[in-house]
Amino acid sequence: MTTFCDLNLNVTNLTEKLIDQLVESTIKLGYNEVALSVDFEFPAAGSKTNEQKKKENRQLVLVPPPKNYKIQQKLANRLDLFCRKIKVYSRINIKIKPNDINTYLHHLKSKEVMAYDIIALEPVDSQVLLYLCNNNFNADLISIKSGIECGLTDKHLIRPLNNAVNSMSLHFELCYSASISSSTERRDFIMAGRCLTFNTKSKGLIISSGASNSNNLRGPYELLNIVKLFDITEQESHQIIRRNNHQVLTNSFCRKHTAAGMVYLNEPNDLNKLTNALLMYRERLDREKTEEKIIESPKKKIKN
Amino acid sequence: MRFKRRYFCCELQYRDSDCVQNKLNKLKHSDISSTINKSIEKFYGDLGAAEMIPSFSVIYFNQNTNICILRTARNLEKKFHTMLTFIQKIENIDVQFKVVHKSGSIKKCKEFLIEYCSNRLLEFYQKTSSRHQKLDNDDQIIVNVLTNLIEACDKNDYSFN
Repeated sequence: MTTFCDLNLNVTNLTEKLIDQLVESTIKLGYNEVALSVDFEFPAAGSKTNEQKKKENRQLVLVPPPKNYKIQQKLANRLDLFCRKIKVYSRINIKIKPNDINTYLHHLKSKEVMAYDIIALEPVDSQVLLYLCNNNFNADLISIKSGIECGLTDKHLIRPLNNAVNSMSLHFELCYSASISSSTERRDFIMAGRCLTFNTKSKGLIISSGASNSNNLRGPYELLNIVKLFDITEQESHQIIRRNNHQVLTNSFCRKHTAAGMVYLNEPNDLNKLTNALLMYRERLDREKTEEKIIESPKKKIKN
Repeated sequence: MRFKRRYFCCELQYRDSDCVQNKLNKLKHSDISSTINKSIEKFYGDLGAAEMIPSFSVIYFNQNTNICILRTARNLEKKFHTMLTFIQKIENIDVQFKVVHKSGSIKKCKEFLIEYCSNRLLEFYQKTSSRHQKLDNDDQIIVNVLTNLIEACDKNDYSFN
């Protein structure tokens, strides 16, 4: 049984009580894994002469550190009765404008940004989208807010989007909470979704709520019905909601905790266990080789 | 995968002949696309608008002959056709969309329109020549041009000057 995830709960400028309410309402709806996200934007660079820049100290790019969130004790006790395991991740949404491409993008490799579990980039323009799809920036998600501005009405963007999904291991994200209230946002959501499913064959799509209010949340089986409006089969819609979220989480885990995505050691004793296992496997292979030599092949008997 | 399309050849028929003669009321490329977008929103709502608006465009429109070529996606062909029948007005002018031809490529649309226009010219020539009045110099020139055109169309010689 796969579990459902909601990977975008917007938590900027919210008090702890409101965060607790949000998390509780998502857990009631049936989600088991939740990510609390924080918005971040690079400061706008003003036009100054070289002398002025040397006199003033350069603006420091302050990235806020991730919060360690713990579920309330009462909730945790209730969930233990039903044996429901819940995980909470931290996430940062970075908005990228066309001016930031040459100036601020090296900050994406800094320690403060890498401390978050999930990193998401928000392009503002179609130019920025194509640049992000073709180059590797150590990110997990590209979240799209307005499909028309990013140029997602054309259906001839197959190559750059497929490139992003296959080689850069990026996934695309759409938020549905804005489409609940207004009709223009609804149109935008469906247009962008249809374009992305046509171009990426529903492998690289995720749907999450960008909600900061519990009124804008919907359950996972209702999302299934919404996703069928993107002109796809039932199997593909199940894949989008059940499997693609877990792929994003495993990709982010590999990026954060492993060097090249090969080996992860939980404890220092694991190294000894690994060596023992490898030695046993080698002994078994040697044994099989010697057993083959004792048994004569039938062809030799016939010759003799 | 190739993105497959349908091309509609339509003729605009005006109900009031006075509007046609009034040259100030000539329609433009952008008027047609804006009215069709509004009627899509009206009949099919948010879902239909999200499906049909990005794949729809006006490719060709001739103000003098009132012929236009419209383009949509292939899976939305029937919805689009039914929606065209319900359009009544373009900017306060009463108008009827008459779909003359449907095809999957522009090349066949062009060949069809050449034949269609030449048939209409034949009808026009037959109407003018049936009148037994004396023709002025200007009218005589027009009739001479038309006869040349029709002879060229009969021979399938489309490279006339």
